[in-house]
Amino acid sequence: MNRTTILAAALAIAVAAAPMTTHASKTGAPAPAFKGTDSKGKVHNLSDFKGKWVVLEWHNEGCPYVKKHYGGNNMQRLQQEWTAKGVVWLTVLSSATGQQGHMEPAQADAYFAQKNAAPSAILLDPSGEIGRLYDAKTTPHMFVINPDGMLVYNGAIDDKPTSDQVDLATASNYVSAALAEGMAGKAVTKATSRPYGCGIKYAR
Amino acid sequence: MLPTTPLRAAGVCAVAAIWLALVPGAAGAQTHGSVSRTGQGPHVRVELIADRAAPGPGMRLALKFDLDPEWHIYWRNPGDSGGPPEVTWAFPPGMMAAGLEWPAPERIDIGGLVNYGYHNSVVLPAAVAVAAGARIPPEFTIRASVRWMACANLCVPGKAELALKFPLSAVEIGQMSGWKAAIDAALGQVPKPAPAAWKASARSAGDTFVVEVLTGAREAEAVFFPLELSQVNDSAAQAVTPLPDGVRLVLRKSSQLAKDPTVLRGVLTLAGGRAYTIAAPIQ
Repeated sequence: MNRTTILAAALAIAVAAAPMTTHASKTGAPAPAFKGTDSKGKVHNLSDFKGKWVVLEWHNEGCPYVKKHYGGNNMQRLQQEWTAKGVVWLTVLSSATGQQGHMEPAQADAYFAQKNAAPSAILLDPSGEIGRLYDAKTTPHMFVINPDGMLVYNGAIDDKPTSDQVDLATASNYVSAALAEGMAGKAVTKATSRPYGCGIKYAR
Repeated sequence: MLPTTPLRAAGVCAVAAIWLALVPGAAGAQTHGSVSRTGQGPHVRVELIADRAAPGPGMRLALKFDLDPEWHIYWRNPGDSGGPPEVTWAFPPGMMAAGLEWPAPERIDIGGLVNYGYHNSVVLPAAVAVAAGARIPPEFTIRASVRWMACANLCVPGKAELALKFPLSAVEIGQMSGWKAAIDAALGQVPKPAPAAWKASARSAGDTFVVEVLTGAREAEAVFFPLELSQVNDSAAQAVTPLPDGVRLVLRKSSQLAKDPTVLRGVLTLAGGRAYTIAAPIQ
């Protein structure tokens, strides 16, 4: 009886632990430790932001779903709102060289300035290393990491998976909800959702 | 009251004119009071067709999409990215449409991410119901406001305001047999419920689901298309093993999946263009 219980418990642990190795971007687990270079040439490690909330936003300027959120000033507003509250907002470009959404450093700075965007930094990831580490699928795909380095949100920006700006008015924003709940010391109600958007144009 | 009415009307016209100027493709026929059965966006042409000339039981309308080579639109579950076409119908009182019916899709690999969708041409039918006792006037118009996402390597959204005016014109009646054939062909490609004699089951094994479908015959080929989002990792290869009396598939779980579902629902396509909806309880 006892032995069966112990065996069952051991199996349960083994099964629970198994997905960790393949699902690097599972919420409730430590966020994968990345290292990336931003558009100013500065190197960032995730560990640099210990003690702070971090948002990762995958971006491709030519993607209609991204255009919805930038054309409607929605993403910029979120960046301004949350960085003002101390959140580190990292916009990540994982398009390979020659693919839609790829930008050289100066080009990225000019483009985001022109959009009045307000991320903390723009990480250039043409190798796709950070994107693949997080299993980022789409632009925009959003992640929220808490001050202890745990991933607390992985998914879509909101609940309206369209490219039409008219849907912004009625959308419920998952990133804001995760940050608001997390900062209030609550568990994040909606910790995952299906990311929507354009497939990321990774290096093959 | 009186002076404000013309002013307000003028204001509406100005707003409409600005909107038409700003929104590419918005200058649809509908806004000018005439009616167009066809529309288009970048790389996509769409038309509204029907399988009979007068509404009645069993009537189907359909959206027929024709795409440029290399471009695709999406199935109801689009897979890793993109989104399905959407339609909003407007009918005379007493008429209504059921949801779109979706022919079995293809797996489309775009740089390692997988979409479920259609190339070349696809017809999405919708059954039309007429309420008992409804008086449909001899002249009426059915309108379909359609929006879609089309992608090759890049993605471009499109929208169209389509309308079908009844009674149909002589030209349209001449096209009717072709429309009906296209709708019937699409219905033939819509997955059928799995035969009652089949047994579908699944079990959770680490980060995979192992699905077995016993059809009574060896199945050399199979592809599973999940009906629910965020259960199966769309981009992961599906390991397919033919069994003497069916087929086994190993599907990787989605990284979005927080908790195993009790049942995996999806479309199973088999060799020879056969497609069935299955529900595999997870044991």
